Amino acid sequence: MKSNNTKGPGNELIDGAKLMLQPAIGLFSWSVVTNLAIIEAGLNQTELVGMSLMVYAGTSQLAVMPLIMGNYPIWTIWLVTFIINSRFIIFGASIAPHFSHYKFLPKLFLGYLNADISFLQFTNRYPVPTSEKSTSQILYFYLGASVANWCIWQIGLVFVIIFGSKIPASLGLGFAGILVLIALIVPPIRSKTSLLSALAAGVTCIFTINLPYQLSIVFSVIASVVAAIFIDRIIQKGKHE
Amino acid sequence: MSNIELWIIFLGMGLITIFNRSIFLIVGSKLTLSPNIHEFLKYAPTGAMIAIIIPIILFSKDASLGLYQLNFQKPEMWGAIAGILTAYFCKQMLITICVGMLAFLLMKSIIG
Repeated sequence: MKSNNTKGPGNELIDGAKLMLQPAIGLFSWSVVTNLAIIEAGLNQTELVGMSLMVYAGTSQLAVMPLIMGNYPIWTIWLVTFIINSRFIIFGASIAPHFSHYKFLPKLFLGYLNADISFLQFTNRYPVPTSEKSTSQILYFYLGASVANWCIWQIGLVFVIIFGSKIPASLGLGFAGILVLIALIVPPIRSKTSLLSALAAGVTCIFTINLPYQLSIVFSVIASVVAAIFIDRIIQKGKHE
Repeated sequence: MSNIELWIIFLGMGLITIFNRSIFLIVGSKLTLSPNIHEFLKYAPTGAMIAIIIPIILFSKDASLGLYQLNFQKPEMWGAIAGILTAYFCKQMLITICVGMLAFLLMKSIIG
């Protein structure tokens, strides 16, 4: 038995938070650029803080700004939010088996905290099912990573509120956030199935990019899963013959 | 847009997002996904991330048409290529960020 099975909640929280150390710079820059862009699109500071606390999903917050400022019907704003954040439905399905025995409100809270980078870090470390840790250890570990993700994001927001216009756009800070995503998704692509699934998502995105309401995200997700199923079948068939 | 309308928009966005994030946590225990489905769902997050990355690295938005158009002249594309290669071969996040940013800023100063 591993010695870390005796660790207490505090240690698990810290171990989880440590997962966010490496992505911290990129996540912080991403938050600064996103929140700066939202302010520049026309929200005041109170509105920015309210939006960030209620929604806590930067990509969708940024994407709806032209719609809000353009006085689009509210349902289109909500539809875009739903579509961009539909990936979280699947993220939720991926972590659900770890937390199936908790009650309604704790589950809502765990769901609220499920952000892109902490999710990818957490599931790279603990895919379902795992026998490595007890369920409460996994809970504290998840909380460590996701609360750290939340804090880094909101620190970026505070930074924007304090320094605002003094941040030079020419640094291209926002691209650091994209590089974090690349650093998270590329290393696990090792099998034929995962490579072709990723290519299917990319090609689908290129061909559906001009569909309304950011539907390209939905189609890319479907393409990645369907491609994985097909390729896996072909590989299995090849093995049996 | 009026102030109250704005807060209704935020509230709705918040409810929609927390619904998406929590729905499987809440109903997941009643509805058991077969291990097979779980096996294939693990490819979906990568698909979603790719769809978030691609518009930034391969497309520019035509202001007058409001449409995305392929653009292979973006510094972001070179930064992403450098980042992808670094992530594939050395798997270190900080090195990936540094190499990607260097390539991106270098190409930005060349292409403009």
